[in-house]
Amino acid sequence: MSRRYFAVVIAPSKQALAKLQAYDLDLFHSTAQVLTGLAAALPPSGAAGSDDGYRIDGLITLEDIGRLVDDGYKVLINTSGDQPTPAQTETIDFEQWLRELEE
Amino acid sequence: MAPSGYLTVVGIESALVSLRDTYPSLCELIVLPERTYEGRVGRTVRIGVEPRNDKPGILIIGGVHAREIVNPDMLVYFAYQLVRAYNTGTDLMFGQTTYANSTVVSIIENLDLFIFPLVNPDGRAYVQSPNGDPWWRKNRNPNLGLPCQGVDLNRNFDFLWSSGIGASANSCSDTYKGAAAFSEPETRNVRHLLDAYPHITHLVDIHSYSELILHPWGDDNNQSTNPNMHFRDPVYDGLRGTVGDSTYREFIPEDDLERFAKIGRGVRDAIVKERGRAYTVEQGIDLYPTTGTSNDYAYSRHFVDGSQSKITAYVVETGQEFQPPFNEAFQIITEVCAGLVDFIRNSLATKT
Repeated sequence: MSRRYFAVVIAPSKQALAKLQAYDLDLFHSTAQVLTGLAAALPPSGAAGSDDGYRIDGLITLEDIGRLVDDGYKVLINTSGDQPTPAQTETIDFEQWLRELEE
Repeated sequence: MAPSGYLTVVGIESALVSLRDTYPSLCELIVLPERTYEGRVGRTVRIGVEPRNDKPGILIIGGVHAREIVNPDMLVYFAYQLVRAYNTGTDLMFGQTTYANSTVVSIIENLDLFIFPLVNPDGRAYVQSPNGDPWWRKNRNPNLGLPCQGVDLNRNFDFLWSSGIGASANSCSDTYKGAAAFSEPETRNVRHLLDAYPHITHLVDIHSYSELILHPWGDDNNQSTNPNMHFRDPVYDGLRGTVGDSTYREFIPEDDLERFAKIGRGVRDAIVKERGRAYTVEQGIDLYPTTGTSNDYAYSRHFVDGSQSKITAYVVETGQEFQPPFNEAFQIITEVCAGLVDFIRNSLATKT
């Protein structure tokens, strides 16, 4: 599997945001937001500046990012999605869970 | 006090069995009829004193999407704390908020509460496996004859399923909607609960992430002026799913819309009290249309068949990431549990 990255995709318009569905990427629909006023929440290198637009988070490959950029989207890469996660490294069984709950 | 990590799939199953074994007069364990592709059994705990079908029923589900790891733990914790408070006659505490024991008694004695914390156990097992994919979203349907595995369960419910709006027909997509509506055992298990317990009038499906409280509809913007423009009318096929246009808007009665907003605001206000996280209450579509989702299906049932109960149904999107470190996850768990208490109280007080 290709390496994936958590990224913010910035669409210049509502139509461009809607067109993202056609790419069949792993974009997190509930994160779609109007960009206005959110520029400050983006990383300092945020390519969006203070322009209007729309943002959506996703987990995408470099190849996907290339396609998006070629098609006029801006993409901010956050972190790699290939590291072990708390779902794998911070697990406990029920006996421990109950013991800790009752302490 | 607080657990220190996420439960395994076996741990969640053990927790539900333990609830039934420890509090047999308060908790019934419902074994759901459909086994998953990997042979796992879905379990729901039914909480109440003398559960009866003439009490209002509330169904809370979680773990539909495998990688959204916080929410099954949340629902197990919620069930435990609620039942323990009733059993010991003590107040119920979630984070900074304390609910008087009278509230606990009211919930347990006046409601039939169904908690189905892990709809997609195969997916969670894959997410937690060292050899799995921590960001897997779908179930583990092998999709024989197709190139990729898994169906997005929250595109597989029978609400405008064939439209494909906000869903994919490509098995390799993370929003692959499956071969047919209710093609998947996990979604059929949810439907079974709604069919078998027709007194269920409220549903919450807990997802992650974005700090949202979403109500119907998800396929198009709402309107309350033209009851003849609705999802059941095929004359509008092909016109739905464009955000913000006026060609088509989905009908929702005004009083339903007000109730959705009122209950949603109560949940939001309960959550924000904990540590200031301000969830947003909004219509499911917002900027992205969806179909085949659990809450739109649940709410749509009474429009399709007038003999069905009207189900006031929400999706809550918890937190700001799929898999936070558990100390942050526990903060999310307690604040949303406070929201769930408010949801239940308001649901009891609000007629559908």
